[in-house]
Amino acid sequence: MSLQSVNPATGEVLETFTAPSSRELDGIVATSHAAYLEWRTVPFKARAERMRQAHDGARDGQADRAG
Amino acid sequence: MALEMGKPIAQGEAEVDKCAWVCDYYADSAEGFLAVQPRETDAKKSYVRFDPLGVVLAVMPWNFPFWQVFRFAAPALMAGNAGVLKHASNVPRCALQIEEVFRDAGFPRGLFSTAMIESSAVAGLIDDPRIVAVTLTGSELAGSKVAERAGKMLKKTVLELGGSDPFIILEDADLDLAATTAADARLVNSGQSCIAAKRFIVVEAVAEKFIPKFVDQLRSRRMGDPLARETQVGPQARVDLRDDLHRQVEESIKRGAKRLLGGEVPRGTGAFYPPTLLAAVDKGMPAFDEETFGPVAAVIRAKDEADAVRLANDSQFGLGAALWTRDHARAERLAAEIEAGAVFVNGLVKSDPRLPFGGIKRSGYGRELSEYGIREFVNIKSVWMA
Repeated sequence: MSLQSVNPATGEVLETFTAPSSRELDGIVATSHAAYLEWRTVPFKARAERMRQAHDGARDGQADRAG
Repeated sequence: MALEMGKPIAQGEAEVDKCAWVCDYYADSAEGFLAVQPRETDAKKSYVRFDPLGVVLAVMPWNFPFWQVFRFAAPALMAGNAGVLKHASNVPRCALQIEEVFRDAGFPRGLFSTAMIESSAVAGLIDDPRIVAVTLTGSELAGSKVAERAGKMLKKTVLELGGSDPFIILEDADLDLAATTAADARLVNSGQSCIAAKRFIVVEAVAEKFIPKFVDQLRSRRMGDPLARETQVGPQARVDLRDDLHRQVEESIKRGAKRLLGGEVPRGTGAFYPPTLLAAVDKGMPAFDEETFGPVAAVIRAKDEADAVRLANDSQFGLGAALWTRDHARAERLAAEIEAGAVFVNGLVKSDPRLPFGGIKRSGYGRELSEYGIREFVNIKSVWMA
């Protein structure tokens, strides 16, 4: 299985991605679940600091993300 | 976004700004929204607390490939949850960029992850006991399938699905402003938005004045290369979607709609479709009954205010609605009668982190954004102490 990124203005294939195997997908969920168990204990103020970093990170790459 | 799904670059930049806004909004507000609420009961002490649920699966679409993910992720992560993203298969680069933003922000590794899977693999994820809930923005079909599977597993879902938003123009509307805004509301994201206005319901008394103004506005918008800064309408996201839209236009014309603008597939490469206006649209035509996910405006005439509201509500969808009148008391009275998750008076329907967002009827259920959105994926827990 693969996913393709295609430019709709030209039809050009930009990049092809391979879907994860079932073992890799299980790993993604396991890592996410482990992260949740840690994160749920983090106080709001620390969560908010990370979220403000995400704000800055989104903005920093604005041209790349829009392009 | 421009390269992968054709969004005009200026609109992509605005989308990124909105993502940053929702991060800040929930960084500032989440603690207050989820603060413990004391309650007076027969207990010595009783209160309500809001605990995180766990890992939430987010199935997201390509049309606002950053915003729709951020408006889920910002409240969900601030509430203490984790997120696994199954993004639309045509925007994998966007998915990876979003994952990078959250990783680089210092969240625990994997708290927000992208799974580059096909739609056929979603059912397996819903069944996974570590996934506790699902949010989906997308088509009715996708929403129905996800809700069915999640229902079988008794897992909560929030669904934000399609819309066929009415844009009602009453006889006392500012017609010039209404026509300009109508074009903006129809052409946002090259027409590919669930909350784009799709059915323009105009009362007979002003129809002959409004329609030419609307045609002029639609005709004035520049279609072209999404990377060019002056472009206002880019290509549709995929050729097959453009072709589906054209079939809806042709079928509506076959059933009596009048083509006043556009409605023809341009020659050359790319999934382009021009701003199109169909007049004399009525029930029984795809332009009225179905969601048109592209730059196609359907104009419907109403006898009067009551008829306009009846036509607005005569839809299987109920996401947003716009209402144009200079009489605010009239607007507030009618807003109560319109079957939609949001009514915007003298403006275009838009999402805003401070306002709940979502629909009724076949537009889905649950709400995103505001305090209502962050409380969708929490355990609202009562604590009672004798």
